[in-house]
Order: sequence, then structure tokens, then C-alpha cells
Amino acid sequence: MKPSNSRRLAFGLIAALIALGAAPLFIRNDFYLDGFILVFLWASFSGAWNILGGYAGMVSLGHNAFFAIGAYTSTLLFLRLGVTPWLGMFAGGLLAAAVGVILGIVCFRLRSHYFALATLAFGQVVHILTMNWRGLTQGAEGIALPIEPSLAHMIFASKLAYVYLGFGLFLVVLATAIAIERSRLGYFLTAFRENEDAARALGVKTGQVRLIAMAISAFLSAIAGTFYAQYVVYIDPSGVSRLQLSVQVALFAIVGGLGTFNGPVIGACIFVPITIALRSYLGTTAPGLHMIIYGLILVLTMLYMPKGLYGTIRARMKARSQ
Amino acid sequence: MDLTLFVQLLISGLLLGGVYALSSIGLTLIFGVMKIVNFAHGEFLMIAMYLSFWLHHLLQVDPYLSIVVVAIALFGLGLFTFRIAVRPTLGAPHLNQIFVMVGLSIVIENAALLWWSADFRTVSLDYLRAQIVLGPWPGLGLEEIIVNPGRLIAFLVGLSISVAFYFFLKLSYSGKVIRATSQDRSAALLMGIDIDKVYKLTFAGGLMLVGVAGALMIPMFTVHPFVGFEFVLVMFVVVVFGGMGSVVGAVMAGLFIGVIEVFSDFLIGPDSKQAVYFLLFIAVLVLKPSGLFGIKGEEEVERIEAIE
Amino acid sequence: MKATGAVLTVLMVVGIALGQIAAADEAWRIGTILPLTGPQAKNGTKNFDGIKIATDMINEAGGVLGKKVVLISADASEPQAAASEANRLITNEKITAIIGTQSSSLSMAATVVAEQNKVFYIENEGVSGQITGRGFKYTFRTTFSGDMMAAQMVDYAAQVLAPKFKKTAKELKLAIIHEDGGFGTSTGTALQKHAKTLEMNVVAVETYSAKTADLSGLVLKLKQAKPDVLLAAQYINDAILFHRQAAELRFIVPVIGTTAGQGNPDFYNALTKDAEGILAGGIPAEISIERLGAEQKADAGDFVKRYQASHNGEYPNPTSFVGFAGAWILYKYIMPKAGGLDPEKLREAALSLNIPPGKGVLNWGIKFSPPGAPDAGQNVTASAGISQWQSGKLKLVFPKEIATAEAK
Repeated sequence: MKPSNSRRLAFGLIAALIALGAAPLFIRNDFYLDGFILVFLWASFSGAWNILGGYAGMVSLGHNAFFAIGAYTSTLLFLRLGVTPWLGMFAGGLLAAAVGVILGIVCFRLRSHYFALATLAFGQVVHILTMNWRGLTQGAEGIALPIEPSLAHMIFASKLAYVYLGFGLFLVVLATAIAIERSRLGYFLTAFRENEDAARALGVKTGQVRLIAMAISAFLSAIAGTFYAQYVVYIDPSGVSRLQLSVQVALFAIVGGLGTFNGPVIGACIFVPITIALRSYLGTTAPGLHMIIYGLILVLTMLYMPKGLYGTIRARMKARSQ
Repeated sequence: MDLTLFVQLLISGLLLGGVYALSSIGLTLIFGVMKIVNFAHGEFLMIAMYLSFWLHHLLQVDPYLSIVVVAIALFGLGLFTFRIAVRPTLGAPHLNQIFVMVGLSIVIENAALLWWSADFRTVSLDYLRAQIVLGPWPGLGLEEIIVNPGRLIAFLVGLSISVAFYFFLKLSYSGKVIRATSQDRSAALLMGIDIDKVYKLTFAGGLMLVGVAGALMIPMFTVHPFVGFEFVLVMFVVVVFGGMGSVVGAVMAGLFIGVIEVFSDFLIGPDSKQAVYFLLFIAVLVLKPSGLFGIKGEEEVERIEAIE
Repeated sequence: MKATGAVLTVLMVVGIALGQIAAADEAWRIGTILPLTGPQAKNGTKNFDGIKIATDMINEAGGVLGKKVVLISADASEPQAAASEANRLITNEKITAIIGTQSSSLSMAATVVAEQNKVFYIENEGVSGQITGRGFKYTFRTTFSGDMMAAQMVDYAAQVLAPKFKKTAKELKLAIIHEDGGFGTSTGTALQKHAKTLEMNVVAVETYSAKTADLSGLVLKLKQAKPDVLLAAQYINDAILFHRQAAELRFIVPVIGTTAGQGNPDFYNALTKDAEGILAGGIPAEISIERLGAEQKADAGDFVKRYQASHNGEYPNPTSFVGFAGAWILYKYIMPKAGGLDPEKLREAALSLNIPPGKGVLNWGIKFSPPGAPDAGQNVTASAGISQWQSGKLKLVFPKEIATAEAK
């Protein structure tokens, strides 16, 4: 890309971020603030997924496991040992990273469909664990966090505080993604993704490189899980470890456009409001209709914009500039 | 555990496995020939079950008699789905293929919810209430062993279909064409095989098979819009276990999974039985990815290019 | 001529539309949050049906304090969606009273939002103890808790079944099975707790997924444990599967289930004569109880009639009963006393109610635990009696004070 284009893009990005960050200050409506929070949550989780799924090309359908590990670890440490979630989330992140690395060691030899299926099974096993290890997780009854707002508890009375907490998480994930893209790690991952055999032939340690990506991806997914726990102040298997979470998080990144940090953000910015709007306006008049529309959007995007929104737009821009 | 209990668990497991095998044959065919993960396969099972239910509810057609109608309907549905959703993504990256089918399954599930409501539907056939009792054989130390008639029928039909299919694939020209395409697409193209037709018929055929499964299953299982999701996970396990594309493998794997499930149910607990076969699934994927009967190296195959 | 006609029609339409808007301003707007899509959709829609019928009934009788009730409904199939929808109802739709949520996990998330915004919340079906165990001031559960139902079930086993086995309560061997969702887990845990309090002998506790296609392993496992009585917290689908497979594999013991499973009319439809004698705790389907006040009998009868009219003659689902009951309690008792939908007044009104069993709705009373109690907001008079299938009908057999038939 030409230098001026890349600078333009950078400005555009910074401007968008400032707008995104400042907008909530002017919005007093809790419903819209809730929307912002969810966009940030999903953009973060999806961005974390993208590090493995987009950059490394390893499509995982088991990321619900990491989200759940994050949510349960920080919550249990908080409730049973009084550890503040600010620290607990790191514990959750590290645990998720460790589990992710083990999963990677076992499953990275598998390609595409098989890897997706293996991670799917893994995610299901973790879901079954959250349902049945009742001594730890209270099973399907879930765990309620005490609603005592304080900074140390990472629980806030005002939605605005959550907006900025989410925004902070989002910036962290974004910065991580950009940093990876610009780094050698990023080049190695891309090399692996584009042509695995050539990459290996050139001496790229594809195994190690992917494990690092997995660890980062799992770590950040778990942090997103902690954020969820602190916001909804109630966690249960249906909320944090169900399969649909994995599908959704991959979906946002794919529809948005894999392989760049923009994709998950775009995907989240489009799908979260659409989901909320469809559910709110159609959810009760014709139950199921809003999900049908949702599914159709997914199908049509996959059929007609296979590179995702960002990928397609970028391709068109490139074509036009030639 | 005494002998009777062991045999009873085994029989129950095999019969359950028969159901799993039957519903997975179509999936393994699609998987093997087209290398597509048909995430929506469970939804087509659901459609077939509903179809059979409505034929029974509205026209008093016995589900076993409805098999032909349902099979034909699902075949047609398969042709249609192939045209609009599958063929366009044949050259696309795998995850596009996966997510088109995921999107399709979301649409189908919720369309069923919208049209048929969330109520659970069952078909109760009085003649299936009869119990089939084997034994007792005091000489062998066995007391009575009980066999569920509905599952026995599904088991026998599943077995017959897979036997028929095995010979079809091995001996008939079409079968050879399918196997050739499955083994080496480019070579098959060079030999003048109409790949598009093979894919189309395979996909529709796979759906036809799950249609048969649905009609056989409605007398035993309730159907509701989200039943597809519940079955599809086991179906994947069975297919991978048995080796992609291997009909015989799917049957053996289905039976195996059924037995594992019932024994885990009993020995470990019903809550964890799914975890057992998921863990086994991962183990098989990692240690013998081609499954019990698949061709080695298949799982390494990269994406196939577009037909055009 | 045509033009005049057109103009008049337009004016008429506009007038009617304005009239509707005006009328809408004059109506009580009450929010509902239920799972109308997703895996819980079946129960969610049935619950919603109950609420809708209650609303129709009250509106046809002139509304509450002269104003009609309008439902502003929301669909939520997972906890975070329930919280978001609660947010939307409160912030955008300016709702001050919500009825929900059928599922305990959805309830846990939505009630948090309601409590934070000081919005009155009626939980009409979720049974988890946690819902009323958080000391919330604005959340009120109109139905029985899992604990209450479990206590009835265990008491029945101890008081009625043990003597039939010629054993003392402590000698009776109990097995407990429950599905692994919120409902099953809450009830299962409560069953174990109560059995322990009575020092009963629990020989097996098993959990399973309600979505399972096969329970033969579970049945054989239970058979081996040789219990005298089985206590089961199941949904309808798995209850039918379980009983079918249990009958097949010759595992026959008295079963005390719940109205979510064994007490559901579909259960009898599926098992017909094999369902005879099976017990279920929860909503007593039998509503023509002599001890009910005339008004309660009439209301319940009206509800059943309307339900059957819109559901092809089907007898109401227990979920619809509790849906109806929750809304009815709000419309007939709480709102009139509160004089409107101000959450503080609703709260005070609710806490002040002291209506004895049989004089509220169904065969319940209305008395909510006061703030400070461990189950603050729980309707302690919502009895979860034990019913039994006798000759195709569910008869209330326990507790004796309100029973309509003898246990067989």
C-alpha cells in the first residue's frame, strides 16, 4: 500500500477510535450504552479469536472454553478467596493460555475442517465440565456476583464506567493485534497461513509461532470472559460456555474480514446492533424471524462477499485504484 | 457386574448406535466425496422427522410407510440446497463453507420455530410398545434381555442400507465414479467424470439418507426445532471416527459410540457420557485422523478448487 | 365524490390511529421478558400464553383501576440478552414493572438490571433459590421455589410412601435423578438437602442432560441401586423417554416427579395407561378444589377455557398456569393496592399482602417474605402440592389439607 494511503488509514483509525471513545459521553441512554459495551466486548473477543483464526489461519470453534475459563476463574477467585478481579483476570488469562497451548500441541497437526472439529469437541468438553462440576461452578444454576460497586471489585453502578472498561479492553486487544501484525510473529503467521510447506522450508518455526498466537488468543479471550462476568454480574454455562459463543465470535471476524484487525471490529460493529435491533423489534411478534434474518445475512455474506466486508471493500478499492 | 447386565448394556448400546450410524451415513458420504463439513446435516434430519410427523398427524401415514416420500422430498431439498448454498462455495476457503452451512442451519432451525412452533412433537405407535424379550437362558447364566423394537428396526435398516451402499460403491459404475472423485478429484476430471454431477447427486443422496433416518427415528424420538443441533455433534463424532467417506466405517463407528455411551452412562454417569466420546473423538483425530476405515492422508488434503 | 370518500376514509383511519395512540397512553404498560426463541422456546411461549390470557381476562373485566393493560414484550434466549432487553424495556420503553422469565438463569441476569433501576420484577416461574436469595428489594417470585417443591416431594415419600413399604422414613431408600439445567439442578440440590434433613437414605443421585437420546444406561444403573422410591426433576421430553425406557428395562418403582415433566398433560398423552399412579409435585392441575374460594375457581376455570379455545382443546401446560398466576397476582392484587405502576408502591403493596392459601390464585395464597429474610420476595404460600394421575386425571393428593383424592 502506498505510504500516503497507509498514513490516511492510520489517521482514519485514530479518528474513528476517538469518535468511538468520545461518543458515549454524550449518550445518556442506558440502552445505547449497553449496546456500546456489547460491541466492545464482542470486538475484543472476536479480535482475540482472530489472532489465531485470522492471522494463523487456524479456525477454532472452541473459544467458548477460554471465555468460560476467564469468567469462572476470576469470579471464583473473587468469591472464594477475595482476590480482586483486576488480578483474577490475569490468573484466568494465564490458565486459558496454558490450556490453549496444550490444545495446540495436541491438535495443531490437524488442518482446517479437522482442527475446527477438534476444537469444537474440546469446547464442548469444557461446557460439559461447567455444567457438571457443580462443586466448582454450581452447574447450570450459575454463580451470582455480589453487587457491591467499587473499583476494587470491578463492579460499577454506572454504565458509563463499563463502557470505558470495555473500551480499554478493546484498545488492548486492538493494540495487541496491530503489534502482532507489524512484528516478525505476524510475518511468520502469515507465511504459515499462506503456504505452510514453504514457510517450514524457509525455516519458520511454525509450531512455536502458532502456539504463541494461541496463547495470546486464549489469554485475551479469557479477559473478555472476566469482563462479561463483571458486567452481567452472573455467570452460568449457558452464558459463558455455550457453543454458539464460539460460532458467533468466529462469525464476526469472518464476516468482517479475516486477517486484519479491522475485520473483527467491523463484524462486531455490524452484527451486535443488528442482533439487538432484530431481537427488540421482531423478537416477540414472530419468534424466530430475527434469527432467520441473522442466518440469511450470514449465508449471503459467505456466498457473495467471501473475503468478508473489509476484505471485499479493500479489494474493490485496490481494483479501482488500478 | 453380572453377565445379564453386561449383555443388556451391550444390546442397548448397539441399538442406540444403530440409530447414530443410520443418521450419519449421509454425512460421511458428503464429507468423504465433497470434503464439506455439512454443519446443517442435523437440521435436515429435523426436517425429515417433522415431515414424517406431519404425514402421520395429518394423513395418518405410518412413519415406516412415509420413508419413500420423505426420502424423495429430502433428495429434492438436497438438489436445491446444493444449487443455492453448496456449489457457490466449493472453491472457497474451508471456513466459508463451514459458515454457509452454519448460517443455513440457523435459518432452518428458526424457520421451523416460526412455522411449527417450539412444541415437541411425537409419534406414538402402539405396535412399537410390544417388547421383544430374549431369553432367559439359564444355561448361559442369562436372564431376560430386552430389545427395543423401534431401535431394532432402525438398526436393521441402517445395516441393510450400509451393506447395499457398500456393494453399490464397490461394484456399480456410479459407485466407482463416486469413489474416484473422492480419492482424486483432478484425476477424475481428467478421466472425463462430470464432477459437478457427482457432487450434486452425492449431496442430495446424503440428504436422502438422513431423510430415511428421520422417518425411522420419529417413532422413538421427539422432534422440535432445535433437535438437529443435539444430534449433529454425535454425527460428527461418528463420521470422523469411522473415517470420512466410509459408509462401513460410519456404521462401525456408530455402533461403537452407542456402546461407549451406554457403558459410560452406567459406569461413570449420565452427565459425563458425552464428555467421554468427545475426548475419544479428539484422541482419534490426533492419533488416527483417518478414522477406523478411512484412507490415510485424507485429513491432510487442502482445499479443493472451484469446479469452473 | 370519490375524492370525498377517499378523504373521509383517510380521516377515519387517522382518527382511529390517533385514537389507538391516545388509548395507548391511557393503558398500563407492563414489560415481559421470556425465551420465545432458542432451546427454552417451548416453555417460554407457553408461559407467555398464560400471561396473555391473564391480560385478556383482566382487560375484558374493565382493566386494572379502569385502565387496560398493554404488554410490551421482549424475547431473550440467553442471560446477557435478558439483561439487555431489561435495559431496553426500562430505558427506552419506560417500563416500571416487568413479568418474566421462565428460566432461572435468564431471571438472574434480568433481575439485576431491574434491581439497579428500581423496577418492580415478578418472577413467575424460575425456581432457583438464588433468585430470591440476593436480598433484592424489587424482585418477587410468585411461584414456589425449587426448595419448596423439593420439600413437598421428600415429605410425600417420607409420610405417605414409607408406610406403604412398611418402613420408617429413615429406612426408605431414595434415588434422585435430575436434568442438568437450572431447573433440574436447583430442584435436585434441594431434594438432596431435604432428604438429608430428614435423615433419609439416598442410594443414588444421577444427573443427565435433558437433550439426551438415550437413558438406558441410567435406568440400568438405578436398577442396580435398588431404590424404593425415585424422585425426579425432569422436563417432559426426558421424562417420557425415561419412563419408556424404565418400563422396557423392567425398572418399576413409584416415581415422584414434577409438573414440568410427569405432571404435564403431554406425559399422559404419551404414556397413557402407563402413567397411572405416577406422582408429580408442583402446580396442581386439579383446580376444582372444594376448598378454593369461588372466585379462584371461576378465574381458574375461565383461564382453562380460554386456553383450550386457543390451543385446540389442549389442557393448559403447567408453565402456562404459572405464567397466568404471576400476571394475575400483579393485576388483581398488587396493582390495585399500589394504585398504579410506581415501583415503590408496588413493592409496599406486595409486601403488605397476606392472603391465605386458596384465596389467591390457583390454590395459592399471596404472602411474600419480608426484606431481611433469607428468601426475601418469595411467595411462601405458593404451595407445590403432589398430584397423582388417576384415571387419566391429575388429582391433588398431598398435603392432606388441600387434597382432593386419596393417594393410591
